[in-house]
Amino acid sequence: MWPRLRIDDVRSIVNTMGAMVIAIALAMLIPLVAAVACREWEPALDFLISFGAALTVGAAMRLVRPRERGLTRMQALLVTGLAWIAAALVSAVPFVIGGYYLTPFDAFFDAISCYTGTGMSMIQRLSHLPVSYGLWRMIMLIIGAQGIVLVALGLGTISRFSGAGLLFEAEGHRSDIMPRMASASRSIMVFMGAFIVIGSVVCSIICLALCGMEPLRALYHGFCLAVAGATTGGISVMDVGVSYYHQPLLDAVLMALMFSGTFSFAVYLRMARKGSREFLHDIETRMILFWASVVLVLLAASFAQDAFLNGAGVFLSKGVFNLASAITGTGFFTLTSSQLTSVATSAVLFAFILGMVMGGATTSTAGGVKAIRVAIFFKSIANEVRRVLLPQSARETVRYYHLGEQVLTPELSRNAMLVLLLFLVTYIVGAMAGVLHGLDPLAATLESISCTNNVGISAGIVGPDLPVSLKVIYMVQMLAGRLEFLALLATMVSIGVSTARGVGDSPIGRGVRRLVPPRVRRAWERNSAGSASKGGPR
Amino acid sequence: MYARERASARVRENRVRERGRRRAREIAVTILRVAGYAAAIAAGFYACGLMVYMVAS
Repeated sequence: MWPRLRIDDVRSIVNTMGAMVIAIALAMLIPLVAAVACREWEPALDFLISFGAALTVGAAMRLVRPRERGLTRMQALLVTGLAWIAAALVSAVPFVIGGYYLTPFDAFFDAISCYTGTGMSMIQRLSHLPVSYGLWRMIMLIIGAQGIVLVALGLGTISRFSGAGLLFEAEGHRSDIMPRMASASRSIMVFMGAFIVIGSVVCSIICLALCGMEPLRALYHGFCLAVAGATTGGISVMDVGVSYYHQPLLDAVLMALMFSGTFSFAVYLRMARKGSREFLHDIETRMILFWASVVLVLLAASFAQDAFLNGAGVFLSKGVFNLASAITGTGFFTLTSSQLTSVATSAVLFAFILGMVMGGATTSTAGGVKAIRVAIFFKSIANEVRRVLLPQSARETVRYYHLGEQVLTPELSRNAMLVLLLFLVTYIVGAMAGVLHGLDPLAATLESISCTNNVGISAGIVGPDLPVSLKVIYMVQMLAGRLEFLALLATMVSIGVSTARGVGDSPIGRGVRRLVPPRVRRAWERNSAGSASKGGPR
Repeated sequence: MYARERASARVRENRVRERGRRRAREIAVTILRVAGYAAAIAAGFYACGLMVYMVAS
């Protein structure tokens, strides 16, 4: 029997989400200060209004007091799923007031895209966006890359409670390696912050010295590039993306930033205590590097056969860089959408799709299937083949190295396969939806995988004129990929079941039930009583 | 008695501070190490890509 939300559940969920809305409101103070410092008075007013509204809503939600402290498993999952939607709704308000989108729904789409680190955008006049708005998009990237709940835990806006471990896992992190989650989340923030600071300094110097920008502009561009690279968000401050800079050195620095964001932060944390072995022997690191090498060979062969995209320089700037962006789930792209769909061969497009399929490491800023699941998948297949070849009495333990020596259990294999299957189904459903909307099958597949794995490489399909139905599908894909299905599915099922039962118990539902013939109604009641007794204690 | 308690509290404090310093140093070294690895991977990616492209074309 599916569990139904009770009023106590709703109270706990609303209260915890109130804390997160307050955290988002407080984060809005940064662009507000930036707007005042840059004398952008209209954006400053937009952020002030949005801050006040978010704070009021958050405080009102905190007034809903739960009866019990802590969250149950179901509540924790629902909080995670709903927190991302609520955060996107609140964060879209300044953009709606500022009028940078054709519709408020586009602003909501963009906020979801920022938080999930996808980077697909529907914004208008991007190159002329005020600094404060640009900063706000980057802050959304940072919060989303860490995980909204993780940030709230780290900053102490929500305290430790019984469901905290589950929240942690629902955002794609591993809770078992982190006994002290609040301090661990702060450590991850330190790593992320350090990458952003180092990246900002280097990118700013390149913008200043090689691109000929003014110092403040170079600093702004350097910071935005570093954030978009290290968080694997791939959001750009210019309409033409990173092609605007035309600097191979900048591409190389961004590539290093993208790779640093795609490997596991938990491994970095362990590396601090146990040395480089943790990184070099980790199964996820090896899997990502292996996959990158395989697709690189394929891409090189495709570029060599391409009549238009030929030459070593073109391959490095438009092939290798874009492939690194696809593999790390960043979404920086130096090919225009028309070049990708019309000029490049299908083999090049296919290589980029393959690059995006796997995603980054667990507890990283990248989304997607995650390297460890793909590695476990391959290990399970190899194990099955070996089991068939060995004598029946032989028993062998399969081990792998990820945050220490681990044993591959049947349960781990099953979980990895299940998530892989869910991702595969989502890719296919998204691609089919695109084809049904009249898109080219290969372009629809690229868009679907890009959204699900939070990459952001687009064949030029995502834009303000995209049908609303496809926007909704892509948003669900982005959230599903970021939250690894569990939290999103739990949220959808709980709300669906509770709404259906609520309608069923309402006067309308009772009226409808009276229309059903008594014989059929009695059979229903018998069936539901039977299923309830099966699930209950004996 | 009081002086001894104060001295042991100071020792404890120093130990905690030293542990914190050591941890901060470890994390700083790790950040630099990760940055180095990332740069090496990026350089390797470019170099391998170029090599494979040369062979393929």
